[in-house]
Amino acid sequence: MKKGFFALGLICTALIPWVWGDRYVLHIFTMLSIMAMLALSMNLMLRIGQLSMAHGAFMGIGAYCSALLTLREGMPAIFALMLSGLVTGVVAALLGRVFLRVKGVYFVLLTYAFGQVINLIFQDWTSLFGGNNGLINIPKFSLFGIRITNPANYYLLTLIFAVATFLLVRAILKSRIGLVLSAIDEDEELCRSLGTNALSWRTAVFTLSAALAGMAGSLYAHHLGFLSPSAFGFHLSVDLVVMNVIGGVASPWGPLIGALIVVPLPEVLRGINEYQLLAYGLILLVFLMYCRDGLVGLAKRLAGRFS
Amino acid sequence: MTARMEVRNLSRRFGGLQAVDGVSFEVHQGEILGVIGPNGAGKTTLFNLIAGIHRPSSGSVLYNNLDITGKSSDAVARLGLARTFQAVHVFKAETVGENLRCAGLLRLSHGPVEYLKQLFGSQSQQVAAQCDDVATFIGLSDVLDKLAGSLSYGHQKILGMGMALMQRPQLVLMDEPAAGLNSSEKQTVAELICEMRDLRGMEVLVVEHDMRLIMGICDRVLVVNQGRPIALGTPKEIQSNQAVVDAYLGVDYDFA
Repeated sequence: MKKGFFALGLICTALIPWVWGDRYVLHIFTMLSIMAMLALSMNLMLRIGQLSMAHGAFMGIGAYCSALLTLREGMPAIFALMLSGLVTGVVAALLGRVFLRVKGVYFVLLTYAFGQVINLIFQDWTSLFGGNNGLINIPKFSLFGIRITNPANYYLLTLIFAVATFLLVRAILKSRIGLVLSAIDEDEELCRSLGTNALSWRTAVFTLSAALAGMAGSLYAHHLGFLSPSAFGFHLSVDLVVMNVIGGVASPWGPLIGALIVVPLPEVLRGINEYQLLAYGLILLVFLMYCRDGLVGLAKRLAGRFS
Repeated sequence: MTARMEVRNLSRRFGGLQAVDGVSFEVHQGEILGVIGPNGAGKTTLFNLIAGIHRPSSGSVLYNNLDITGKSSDAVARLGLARTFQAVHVFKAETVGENLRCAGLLRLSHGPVEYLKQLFGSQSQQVAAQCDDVATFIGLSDVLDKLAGSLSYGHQKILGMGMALMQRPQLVLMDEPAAGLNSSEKQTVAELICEMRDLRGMEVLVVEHDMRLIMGICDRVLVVNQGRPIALGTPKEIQSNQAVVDAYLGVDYDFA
C-alpha cells in the first residue's frame, strides 16, 4: 500500500514535463532519467561492496562509442546504443578479472586511475575523439527510421530505459542472484568454502553495471548532440555514489530517489551559485551522520513508527 | 586401502619461516585422520595449503588421483572437499533453515553460468529435501526457525558443519572443530564426526588441539612439529611415541 503511494508519486513526477512542456524542464528530466540509470548501475556495484570510480569513464566509453558509430559509420542510433553497451561490458569484463581481485581502497584507486587514463585518451587522441573540443553534430536518435527530434519524445525514450533498468536491477536483486551477492558481501570466505566462485560473480556484476553505464552514455550523447571529455571525470562517479547514499543503498528505489534529489540540485541552487558545493557537502554530511540508510530507510523507519 | 587424498612433500615458506617443511601423508578411504602438534607447528598452514587458501612453495596434493595443488579454495570445494572453520562462520541474521538452504543454493549457483543452467533444472527443489536431511543429521531440526546468531556458540559451529555437509562432500577438512566448545558440545561434535564416517562414508581430516577428542575418534594421527611430520600412526602408537612426548613436553631433542 505504502509502496503504491511511493510509486504513484514517482509516476506523477515523471509526468511533470509533459504537463509543463517546457524545453528546459524536459532537458532536466531527460538528464534525470539518464542519471537514474547510472545511479542504478552504481547500486549494483555497491551490492558487491565495491566502490567503482570508473563509472564516469564507462559512461564516456559508451557515449563516444555511440557518437562515433553514428557520426562516422552512419549506424542507426539504436544499434550504436546496443553496441556501446556491449563494448563497455567487454571492457569491464576484461578489467574485472584483474581489478576485482583487490578490494576496498585499492579497488577505488585502481578504478580511479583507469578513469583518469580513459579521460586522458579522450582529451589527447584528438583525431578520433576531438580532444577538449569534443565531438559535435552527433545525430539525433532514430527508431524505425523516424528521427526523434521532439524533446518530449526523447524524454519518453530515456524514461523507458530508466524504468527498464530499474525493473532489471530489482528483478536481479530479488532473484537468487541477490541472495548470492549479499552472501558473498557478508562472508566471502564462507561462500568460497561452499564452492562459490566469488570472482566470477563480481565480474558478472561489474560487466552488467558497466554495460548499463555505457548505454546511459549513449543516450546522453544523442541527447546533447555534443561531447567533451570533462563530463566523464571521476566526479561523476562520486555523484553516483552520493545519489545512492542519499536515496539509500539497500533498495533499488534508493538510487532513483537519490537521482531525483541530486540531479536538479544545481538548477535549484542556481541563484546561490557560489554556495552550491557547500550545500552539496552539508546535505551529504547530514545523511552520513544521521541517515546512513538514506531516504528509503528513513521512510521505512517513519512508516514503522506510525503503523 | 586406497588413498582418497595424497599429500606429497608439501612445503610452504613465509619469508624466513619454513612453516610447512616436506609433509607427506595419505588419507585412506573411510578414515578419520587427525593432525596435532604444539602451537606454531604449522597445522593451520598445512590445512590452508590443502584447502586452497595458500599456495604451496613446493610439493603437491592429490585428491582422487587428481592434482589439486594450487587450486583456489572454491574450486577445491566444488571437487567435494568441504571445510569448516575454527571460528564461527554462519549468516547470523538468517535462520538456521535459511543458512542451510543458502549453503545448498550457493553450491547450485556457484557462478553466473551455473546459475543460468540450473534455472532450467529441478535441482533447487532437491535442496529443500537435503536441508531436512542435514538438519536431522546434525540435530538442529528443532531450531530451524531460530536465528543463527541466537544459537549457542557450539550450535553455531555445528550449523557450520551442516552448511559444509550441504555440499555433499566426500572429504571434510575440519579446522579445530572443538575450539571454544564445552565438554558436552565436544561430545556431540565427536559423535557427528564419527557418524560422517560410519553413516555417510566420508573421510575427515581434523586439525585439533583437544587431545582427548583426537585420540577418541581418529583412526590415525599425524603429529607435526616445527613444520615437519614427526610421527604418523594409530592413537595408541602416537601416545607411546618418544618424539611426540618430547615435542609436547618441550624437550629439545637436539641436546637430548
